[in-house]
Amino acid sequence: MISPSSLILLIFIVILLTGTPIGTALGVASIFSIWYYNYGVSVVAPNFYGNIAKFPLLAIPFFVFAGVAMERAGVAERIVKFIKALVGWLPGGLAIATVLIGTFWGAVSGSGPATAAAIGIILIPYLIGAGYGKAFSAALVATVAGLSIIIPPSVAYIIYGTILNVSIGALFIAGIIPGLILGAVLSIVAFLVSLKKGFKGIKKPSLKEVWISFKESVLGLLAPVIILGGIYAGVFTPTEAAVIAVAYSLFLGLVVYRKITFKDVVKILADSAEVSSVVMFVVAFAGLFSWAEQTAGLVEASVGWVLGLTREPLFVMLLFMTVLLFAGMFLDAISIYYIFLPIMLPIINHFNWDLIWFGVLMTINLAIGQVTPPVAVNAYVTSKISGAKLEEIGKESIPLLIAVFAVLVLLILFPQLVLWLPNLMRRGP
Amino acid sequence: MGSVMSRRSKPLATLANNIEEYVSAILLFVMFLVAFINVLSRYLLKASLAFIEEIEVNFFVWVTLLGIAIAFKKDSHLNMGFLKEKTSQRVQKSLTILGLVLSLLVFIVVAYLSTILIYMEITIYHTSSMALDIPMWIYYTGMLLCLLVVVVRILQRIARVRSR
Repeated sequence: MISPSSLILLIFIVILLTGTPIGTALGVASIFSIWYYNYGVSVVAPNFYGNIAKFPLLAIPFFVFAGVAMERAGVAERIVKFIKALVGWLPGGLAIATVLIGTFWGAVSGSGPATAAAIGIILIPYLIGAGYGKAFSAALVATVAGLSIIIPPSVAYIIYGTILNVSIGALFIAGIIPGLILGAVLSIVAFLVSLKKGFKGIKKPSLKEVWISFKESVLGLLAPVIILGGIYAGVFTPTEAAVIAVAYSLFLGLVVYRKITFKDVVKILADSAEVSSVVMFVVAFAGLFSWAEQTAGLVEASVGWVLGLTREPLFVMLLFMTVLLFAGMFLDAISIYYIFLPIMLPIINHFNWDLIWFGVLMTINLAIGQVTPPVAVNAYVTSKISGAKLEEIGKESIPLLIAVFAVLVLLILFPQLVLWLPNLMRRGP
Repeated sequence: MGSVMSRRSKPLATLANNIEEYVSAILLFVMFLVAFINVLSRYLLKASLAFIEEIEVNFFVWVTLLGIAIAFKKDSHLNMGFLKEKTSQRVQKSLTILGLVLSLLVFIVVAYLSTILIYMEITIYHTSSMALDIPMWIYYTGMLLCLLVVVVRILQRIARVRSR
C-alpha cells in the first residue's frame, strides 16, 4: 500500500511530466489528496487566498514592475553601452562585459528568466556578431542571468523568507558578497575561455567616449545603490524598497529619458501583472501542496530517513546540496522551496545552521538548475533568442557552472562570507 | 505580448478580450500608489497606515488571478515541456488539451469551494478583516469573480487549441 505522502508526490510528478502548467499539477495533486484522504476540502479556498494574501509577497509584483519599467525606459541599453566601452576592448571583452552587465542587472531584477530576456535581447546578437558562437553566447547569458536570484532583489529570497519567516532584508544583504564573488569568478572564466578560443576584443574607445557613456548611464547605475543602500541602512523594508524602485524607474522612463509614454505604462503594468502571476500561480498551489504533504506526514518520514542515513553535518549538507541541485534540474525554484523547505527545516535547526546562510546556499543550487537541462528556464529564454539548442547551451555552460559550484563550496566552508554583511546590519551601522 | 492595444476597429471586442489586462493594470497601479503614499506617510507622519496593507494584499489576490488569466490566454505559464516536445504533433495537442482541462478542473473546484466559503461567511462565520473591519465575504467574492475570469480564459484556450 502506497503511503499518502508518496501518492501525492507521484500524482504531482506524473501530471508534471505531461507538460501541464506546474501550478495546475500542484493543484490537482493537493486537492485530489485532500479530498481522497478526508483532510477537509474546506481548507482549500481559504488556504489558496492566504497563500497569496501575504504582505511580504507584495515585493514580487513591485520588483517585477520596477524591472520591466527599467528595461522599457532604456536603462539596459545605456548600461550595456557603458560597460562595453569600459571592458569591451579586453580579449574576450564582450564576454566579460556580459558578466558585469548580468551582475548589475541582477541588482535591478529579481528573476532569472526576466534578466535573460532583458539583457539577452541586447547582448546575444552582439556576442554572436563578434564571433562568440551561438551556444556559448546563450550559455553565458543564461548563467549570468542566474545571478539575478542570488543578487538582491530576488524573488527567490522573498519566497524563502516568506515560507520560513526569515528577514527578507537580511537575505537580500546576505546575497551581495556571494553575488559579487560569483560575478568576479565568472568574469575570469569568461576571460579564460575567450583566450582559449581566441575571442578578440572590440575597438578600444577613447576616454571621452567612456565618460559620455558613463554620464548617460549613471542614473541607471544608481538604482541598485538606492534599493540596496536603503535596505542596508534600515531606511526601507524590502517591499518599500520595491515601491521606491518602481517610482525611480517610472521617473527615469517618463521624465528623464522620456522613452516611455502613458500608454506604455498601461502595457508595462499589464505585463508586470502577468509575469508576477506566473510566479504566484505556483506559489498559491505550492502552499496548498506543502500543507497536504505535511498533513500526510512527509516531514516526519523524510527527517527520520535522513537522520537514519547519517548524522554527520557535512554529509547531510552534501546530501541536501546534491538533492537541491538535481531537483533544480527538473523543477522550478519556487516549487522546490515549498516542497523541500518544510522537510529540511527540522534538520537545519537540528544542526543549528543559520537560516540566512542556508537560504543563500540553496538559492545558488537553484540558480545552477536554471541553466542545466532538461528544465532550464534561463537557457530556454536564451535558446529562443540565439537559436542554439538547449543541449548545446548546457555543454557550453559547463565551465561556467563549475566556477559557480566552486564558489558554492567556498561559501559552505566559510559561512562568514555570507553572514558578515547581514550581521553587521543587524548590529546597526 | 502585443495584444493590449491591438484590434482597434472593434472597441467592445477589444475590451472583452483584454478586460483583465486593463483591470489588473489599474489595480496594480493603485497598489503602487497607496504603497508609495504609505512609504511617504511613514516618514512624514511617522505613522504607517495599517488599512493600506489590507487593501494592497487583497488587490494583490485579484491581480494575481487576473494575471493567471492573461498567462493562460498567452500560454506563458511555467511547465516541464521537455518530454512533451519529443512527441508527435497529435500527441502534443492532446497533452496540451489534457493540461488545460486539468487546469479548468482545478479552477472550477477552487471557485466552487470559494462559493461555499462565501455562503458560510455570510450565514455562519461572519468574520471581518483586521484593519478595515470589512466582512471577509466581500474580499472572497472579488476573488471568486477573478477565478471565473480564469475559467473563461481556459475554456477559450481549449477552443482555440482544438480548432488548430
